[in-house]
Amino acid sequence: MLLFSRRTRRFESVIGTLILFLLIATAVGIYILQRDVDMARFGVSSLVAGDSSAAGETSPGGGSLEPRGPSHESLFFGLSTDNFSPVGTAETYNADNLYEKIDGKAPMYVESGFNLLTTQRFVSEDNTELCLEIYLYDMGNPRNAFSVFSRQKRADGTDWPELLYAYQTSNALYVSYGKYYIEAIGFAESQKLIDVMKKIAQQLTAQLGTGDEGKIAELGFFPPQGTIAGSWKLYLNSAFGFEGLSDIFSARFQIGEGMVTVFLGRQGNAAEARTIAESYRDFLTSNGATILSAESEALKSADASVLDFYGSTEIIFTAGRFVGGVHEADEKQSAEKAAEVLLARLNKIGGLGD
Amino acid sequence: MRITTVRRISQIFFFGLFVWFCIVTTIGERFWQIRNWPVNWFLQLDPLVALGTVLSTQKFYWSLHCALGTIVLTIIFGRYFCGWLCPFGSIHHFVGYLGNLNKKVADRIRLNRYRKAQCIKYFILVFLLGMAAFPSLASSLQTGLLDPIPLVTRSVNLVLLPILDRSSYLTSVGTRYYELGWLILAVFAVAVLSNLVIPRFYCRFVCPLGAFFGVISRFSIWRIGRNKPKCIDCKLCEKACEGGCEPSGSIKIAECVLCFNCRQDCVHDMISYQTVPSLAGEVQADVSRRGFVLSLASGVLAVPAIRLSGRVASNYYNKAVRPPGALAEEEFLKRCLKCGQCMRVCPTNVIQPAGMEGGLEGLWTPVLNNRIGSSGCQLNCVACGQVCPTSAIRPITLDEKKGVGEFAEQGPVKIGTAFVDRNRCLPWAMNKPCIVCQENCPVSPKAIYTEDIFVTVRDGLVTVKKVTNQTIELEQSIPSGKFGTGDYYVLGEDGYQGKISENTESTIELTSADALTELLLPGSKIEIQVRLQRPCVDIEKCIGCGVCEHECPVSGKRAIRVSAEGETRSADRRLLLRG
Amino acid sequence: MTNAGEKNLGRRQLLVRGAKAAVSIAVAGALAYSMYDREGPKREAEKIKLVSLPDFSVPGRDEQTLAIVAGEDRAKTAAKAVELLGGIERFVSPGDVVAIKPNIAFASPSILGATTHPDVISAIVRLCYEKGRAKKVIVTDNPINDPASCFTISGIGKAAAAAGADVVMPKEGLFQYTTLEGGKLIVNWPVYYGPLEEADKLIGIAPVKDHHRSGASMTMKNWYGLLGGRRNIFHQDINTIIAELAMLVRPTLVILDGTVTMMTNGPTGGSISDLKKTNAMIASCDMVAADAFGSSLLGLEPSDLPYLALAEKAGVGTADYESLKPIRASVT
Repeated sequence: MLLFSRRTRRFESVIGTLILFLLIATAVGIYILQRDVDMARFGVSSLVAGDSSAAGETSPGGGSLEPRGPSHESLFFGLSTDNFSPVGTAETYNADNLYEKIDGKAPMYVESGFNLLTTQRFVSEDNTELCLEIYLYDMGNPRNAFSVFSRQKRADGTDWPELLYAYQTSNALYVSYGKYYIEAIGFAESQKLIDVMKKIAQQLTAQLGTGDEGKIAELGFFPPQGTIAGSWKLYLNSAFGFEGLSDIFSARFQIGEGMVTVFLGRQGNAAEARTIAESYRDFLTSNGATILSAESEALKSADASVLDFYGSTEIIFTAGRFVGGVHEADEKQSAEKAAEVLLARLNKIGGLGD
Repeated sequence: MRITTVRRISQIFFFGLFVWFCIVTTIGERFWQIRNWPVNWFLQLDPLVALGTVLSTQKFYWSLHCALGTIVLTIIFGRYFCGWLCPFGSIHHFVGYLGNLNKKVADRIRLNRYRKAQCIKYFILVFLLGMAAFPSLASSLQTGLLDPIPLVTRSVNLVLLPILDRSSYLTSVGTRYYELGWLILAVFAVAVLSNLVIPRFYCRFVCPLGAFFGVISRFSIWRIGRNKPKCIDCKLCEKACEGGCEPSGSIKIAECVLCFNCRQDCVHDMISYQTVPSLAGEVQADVSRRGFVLSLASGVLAVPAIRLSGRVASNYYNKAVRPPGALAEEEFLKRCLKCGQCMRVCPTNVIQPAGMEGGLEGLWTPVLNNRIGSSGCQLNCVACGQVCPTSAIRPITLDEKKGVGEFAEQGPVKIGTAFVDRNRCLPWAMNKPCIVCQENCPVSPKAIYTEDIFVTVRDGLVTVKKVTNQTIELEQSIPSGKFGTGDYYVLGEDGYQGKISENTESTIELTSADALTELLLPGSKIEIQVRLQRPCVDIEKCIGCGVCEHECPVSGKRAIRVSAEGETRSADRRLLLRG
Repeated sequence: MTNAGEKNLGRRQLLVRGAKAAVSIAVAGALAYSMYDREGPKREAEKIKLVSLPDFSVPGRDEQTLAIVAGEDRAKTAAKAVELLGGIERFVSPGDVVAIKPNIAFASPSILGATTHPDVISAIVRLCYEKGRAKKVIVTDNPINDPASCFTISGIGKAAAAAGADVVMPKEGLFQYTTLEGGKLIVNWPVYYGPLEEADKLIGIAPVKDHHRSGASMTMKNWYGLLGGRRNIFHQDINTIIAELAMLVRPTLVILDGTVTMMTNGPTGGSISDLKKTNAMIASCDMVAADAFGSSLLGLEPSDLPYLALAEKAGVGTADYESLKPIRASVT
């Protein structure tokens, strides 16, 4: 076009307006683009909160570097939760800053193979008083998870049979599933909260599991008659205060009218078991225990050690590659009886399967 | 609405957008942090970035596809980018406008006349492209030095923002430091202030991107034209001509930046934007063949000449530790634009622009300086690769960086190795306990382990006067309170060793007594020893992150320092024979 | 004739010049005077400025050091406990600025017992204003979890504000370095000093909790919240740090809320079954005695908590709380 007249001014305005619309469209496009946030691509702990609570590591404020997690956070968004919606963003903690969430309890987890904790709060859209928080601990392997699960088991919890290792209290739900330890804490004693937490736990385990619930074989090694189901504890290391005792399972065992704590641990071979049993016995004696003689024939022929440790009875024996015994029993007689039962059981299993 | 108004709005819009992108290039989820803002958009639109990398790597990196759009639009419309979009150009435009405020119209027309020297930018363009063009000979991407988008990005990110944000901490958590910041500012300042001499000085004489646009706008559909028969040659059109393209004569299309000021200023309506060539005649880009050949040859030969120093080969500068994910040096230099995005986004401020120690090509490329910033290279961070526009630093995942999952066999990315300087390290050279480096080593298992050794302290040979339970009285006097930190021990003549809990000038208090009295008789000689844990680096585990160097209390020249040996990006710099 | 004219002109010029000169001399002189430096530059600026926490305690009174009140209603038992020690007027004078440091460590609802219950805080804040006639009451803490969620979810922010207190959140500028004289751990360490700077009195209010690391978390462990920096490093020597905190902080009064005790799985708890109703509220001028009594609520002996012995040895108080003749009462 070859136009020099004033008419071109109007055309110019039209083009100009068009260009302005283009600019606005660009701005809108960029705005929409930036909403699609995926901070995980920058890495886990590459985030520093923008507000005053974080001022870098060298400042006196004790800044909290809140890392964002990898895939687990997205898990929480996919859950169907009966009109409960997530509050705030999920938090993730690793072994270095776990104490920022659970303070004094952190060493227990860190010493048990802890990897990552992801937490998320939910609140009910129908009733904002109903609030719950999920703690998802990645403990690295099923035994670690079971260990922290069992060591913190509340005495008045009731079993939740839906999952292999799970129990509930009046406001909370606790699960050990595969390598994960899950705590669901309700901020009130409410059946509604329990129901929702159960739903969440089931969905989480369905998504997280590889089908392997992390069944712990050793739990079945305890005598079926008399062992209180659900009372198992797994000590990964330093069981009963002795460094040489690792991977020890304990359980409460009914004998006569009373109960004692029995324990067992599987070692590489019989020689190793004997060495460990002997060093545990020596540990007790060097700390003031006195050796008694066993009354039971079975225990005598198994070369079991029976000791009195400041008023309570300790029994240690080996059965093939197992180390077993009784810990802190009030009465020697019932302790020996319980030890006999456990010994017989372990001897029976001893040769079978691994 | 006048087209010049729209042009101004466009300049303001894109300039504001550019500054916004610079501000948000910091890790975080808040609105003013990186989220998913396309902070590299201007670099991706820049065709010189695309062209340069295409020439040097012989591949067109996908992320730069927007540049095609820019090229197409330029071919159709002309140098709209310079006049409407380029943030650097907008700065020059504005400063030039300020400089011209009090000048007479005649002076302004004179300043805007076309000058032959405007062909220099074409030589610069050809020179830079020549440097990149022949990988078989040697190629290096140095366009980033003068390409306006990387230049202005670098200047704003590494100089202006840190200066302006020194105490308000709006754009970052703490004060940011950048080495050689003054040089970057100097270049920026010279470019900007030169507009006070001639408006859009940089655009007319230096800018290689403008030169490129000038070349490809040869066949533009629409161009500025003048109605010569009716024009009275008043030259008012050149009063505010931004490109110096001489609309009052035969317009130099390649110089026109489509500012439309000529159309605006012509009171007789003689200028229009049209599809037919100007009635007054047009001239294409004025580049002499001789100049072209000379520039090209210089560029092509420059790189192998620089490479004679061996700096990219066996004579590599080992103090240059590149960020994790960086390509091997030769490949890296073919892609790095020196834009400074990685330095800006790095949460610990450890990535710094290099000087010339690593070679001329390395100027302003990213290297780590572990003494600066808050902590060395964070273990769980891969931010730098995510923002590199040309993938000179690859966008690696966390799994690849740490060598887990599918990368377990390949192992973690190592950017170097830490070396303990035993002549400066406190436990090695000064008999002072310290294991800060080992405590802070972030990998698991730690790459720093310690060797325990007991060494007698200075003047530590003392004689026992009397021993009562846990307290040893001495004949000599020793510095009071010095040995109570839990690192000091007493060595007796028969090999007895006891830990010291306190001491006064004449007594030593041990933490426990066992069979002590029998061993330490009055008159017997004992030694006060310090237990030193001397750090050693396990080079199989060390990834060169530099946290140890950062934490080392010997704050000047650190007693443990990371250097590039052992970096996994270069096969020839491996430390170990295997792995 | 011209000479005279010229002379007049010359004189005027001279006057003008003289005046200009005088002004320049005056300006130069003024500048020199204002910038005068008699002593020359000093050797080296002080490296870290250290603050020391003031002693907030009030004079002791025989047999009015420890009060134990049984009851379920926290507001009532707390008020009664303070009354038994002589009333809030003994501790807070009119016009005082009172800083209250509760345990707001976790973003946990009050029902789970991991944080100080808002009812106690409201009661004490109101007492300070109404009976104590305090000018201002500040409620603050430096939590372990994110401060905003802690103050909100624990209910303390809302309760304190409703009672008229100033709720202060921790910020970087509020921390200053301090050293405990004779201390091994608290040396050049940042503490949350800002809110205490303007305070005349300091009251600590803590719940009774089991703690995985230290055995128990009560009035003395409560001061851990005043530590800044990477304070978790002290967990390695937990008993020493608690004792040193008790030496560093000398409060006016501590309230130990044993209405609901966290018996197991502390310090965070999580299950209601970790809690037990023990219905005891303690007010004390002696932190060691308060904690010693609190240990009984946890089913422990004072000797089960090593930090008590350390603190007693350092002279902070006595673990033999009966010797203080505690005043006991009950509120329905």
